Amino acid sequence: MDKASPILTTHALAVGYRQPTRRMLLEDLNLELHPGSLVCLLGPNGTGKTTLMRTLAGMLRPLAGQVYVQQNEVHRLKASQLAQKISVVLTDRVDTGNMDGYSVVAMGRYPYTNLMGNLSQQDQHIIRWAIETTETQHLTDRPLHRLSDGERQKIMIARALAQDTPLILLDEPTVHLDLPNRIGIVSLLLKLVRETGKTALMSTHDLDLALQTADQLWLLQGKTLLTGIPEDMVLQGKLAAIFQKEGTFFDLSSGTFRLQVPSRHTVRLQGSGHARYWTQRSLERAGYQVVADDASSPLITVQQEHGQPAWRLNSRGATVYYTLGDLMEGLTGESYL
Amino acid sequence: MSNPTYQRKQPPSVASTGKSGRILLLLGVTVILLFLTDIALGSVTIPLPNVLRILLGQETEQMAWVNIIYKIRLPKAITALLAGAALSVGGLQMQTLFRNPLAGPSVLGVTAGASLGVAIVMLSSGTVTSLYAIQQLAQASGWIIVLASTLGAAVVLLLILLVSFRVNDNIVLLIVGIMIGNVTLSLVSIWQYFSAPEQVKDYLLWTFGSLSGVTPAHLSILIPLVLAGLVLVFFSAKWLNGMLLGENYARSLGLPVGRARILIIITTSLLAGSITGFCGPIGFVGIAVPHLTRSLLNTSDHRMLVPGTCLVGATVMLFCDMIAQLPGYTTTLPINAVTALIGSPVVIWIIMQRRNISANFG
Repeated sequence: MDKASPILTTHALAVGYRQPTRRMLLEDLNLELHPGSLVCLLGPNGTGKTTLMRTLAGMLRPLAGQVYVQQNEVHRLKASQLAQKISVVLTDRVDTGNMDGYSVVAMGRYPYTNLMGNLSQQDQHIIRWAIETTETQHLTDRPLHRLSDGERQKIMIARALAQDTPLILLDEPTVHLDLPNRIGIVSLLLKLVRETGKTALMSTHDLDLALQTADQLWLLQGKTLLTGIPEDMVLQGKLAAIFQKEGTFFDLSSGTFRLQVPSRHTVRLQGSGHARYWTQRSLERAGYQVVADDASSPLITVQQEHGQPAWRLNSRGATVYYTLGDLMEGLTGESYL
Repeated sequence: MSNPTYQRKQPPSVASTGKSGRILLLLGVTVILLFLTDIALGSVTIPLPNVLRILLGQETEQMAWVNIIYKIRLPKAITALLAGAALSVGGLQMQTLFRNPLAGPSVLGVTAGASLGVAIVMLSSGTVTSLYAIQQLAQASGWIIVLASTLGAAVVLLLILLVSFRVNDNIVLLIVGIMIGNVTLSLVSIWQYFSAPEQVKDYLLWTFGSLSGVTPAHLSILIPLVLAGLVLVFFSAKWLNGMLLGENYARSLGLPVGRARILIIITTSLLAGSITGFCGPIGFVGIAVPHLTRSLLNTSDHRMLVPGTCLVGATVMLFCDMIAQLPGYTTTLPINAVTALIGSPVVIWIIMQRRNISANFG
């Protein structure tokens, strides 16, 4: 297969519900997914992320238009053929009782096994590879219901890998997980697409992680979808436009959304490096606006004493503080004088 | 390579398959022993060696024993075997299909549906109405009863399934199932109220449940039906396993979920319906045995669970039958009462032991 040809394309695709009343969520989508890339689908809640994922996976019928996977229309493929092209990781909770991790991963081979589901040598080889790639060796003989959410998610991803499809769709695989687990899963996906040339499309709320790792972002805006590489989306202000809510702003320098704290006072800040960055954050959080030239505002100088940061506050007098906490207290005390 | 501590050469399922295989073998031996003991016990106790010899056609001196065994006890033991296996496997399938640990033919109203089918045949006035007449007409009307009860079971299961498309909550579904069962049984009650006393008596006797009403002629219907059902279930083990992941995952694995669901309904109706038609509504076996089997085999793999459930079901049913016939007495207890008496504590014991049954059932 030609490396450059897309693995998945949509043509004038419209997705939404038919039941109870026809409701169009997204329309006129012309999308492409290319081999070896990790694409993150981002969008506010309730705008159709899951519906789009399920339509691409062939679980929901499109309201209009077509989805093609390797030039085959998804909704015309037989279930068994589709299962060899697209694997999914869903938000559905799985209750498999006594079934251990290995057996769940082994289910990934279902599209390839016979009526009784007997595993061939090659099947077992691929299952082992999926387990090693996801580093879930220690989970294989434990029943699924004894695993934590993160471990369970990894097993479900291993199962999708065992299915050995060119395209993996993951619906919010990092939801409910703590930060290290979220990073673990996304870096696993990144490693996977780089090493195997598979394609992963993952919907997520993790803007931070998506910005750092995705080859491409799909942003839901109203009834359409904007695509582009993360950095373009940031610079063109598209991210900010979609996610900005009252009380937050998109910080271009850090690439994160920040809480907008109304500033009541102004200060001047001198210094450099990490210490200066975190000092400014702490000041802004407390409601101080850092200004460049206003001689009437207190001046804070970040300096180094014995390799540790210290802060000199020049206001009515000069005081040196050794923690930011003390500095903040000192500042507040001054403001009320 | 990525993790040197990963030493496992053999996948764990192989190791546990070996262990489960041994348990299955042990269960098979238990079933054979219980089968023979069940034949030996009764109002007249026949020594086991004689039972064996009679069954092998070697002994013909004690004609009374030969008659007892071939005319009464062998058909009854075979019925117990079939009923135990069929009801239990039906329960296993429903627990998997609805992903609900408390599902079973008797809880979800399937036996109630079968009862309605039987009531329609028995209570509607006409020539082929009473149980006596049915037993007289043996084969021909045997089919009618089986057809009616299987259809009754299928109708209720279809109703529940239709609801399950709209309701995603297992508990809600269970309540709906119980309600549909209640509605069905109240229809039967109303019908009884307006029926002739003799017909009502026949029907009431049927509801007590009995393994001994099944004649060799009936068996010629029952055996192929149950065997066909069990074979179909055995070959849908992979589908049943897939269903454990939920329908969306099952579909993504290429399993024909719609067809699998219809097949599960047909086989469950066939298994539970045919047994209920002949033996009356036998409760609790369908719920209790699958749990018992899961604990015993410690697996959720239906390739092991289906044969395991058959064997455990047969074991439980033969055991219940031995208690029901009160060895040494001429009276027989209604089998329905005995299974409930033994089945309910088992269900309670499992729930107490497992606490979180919904995470555990599979």
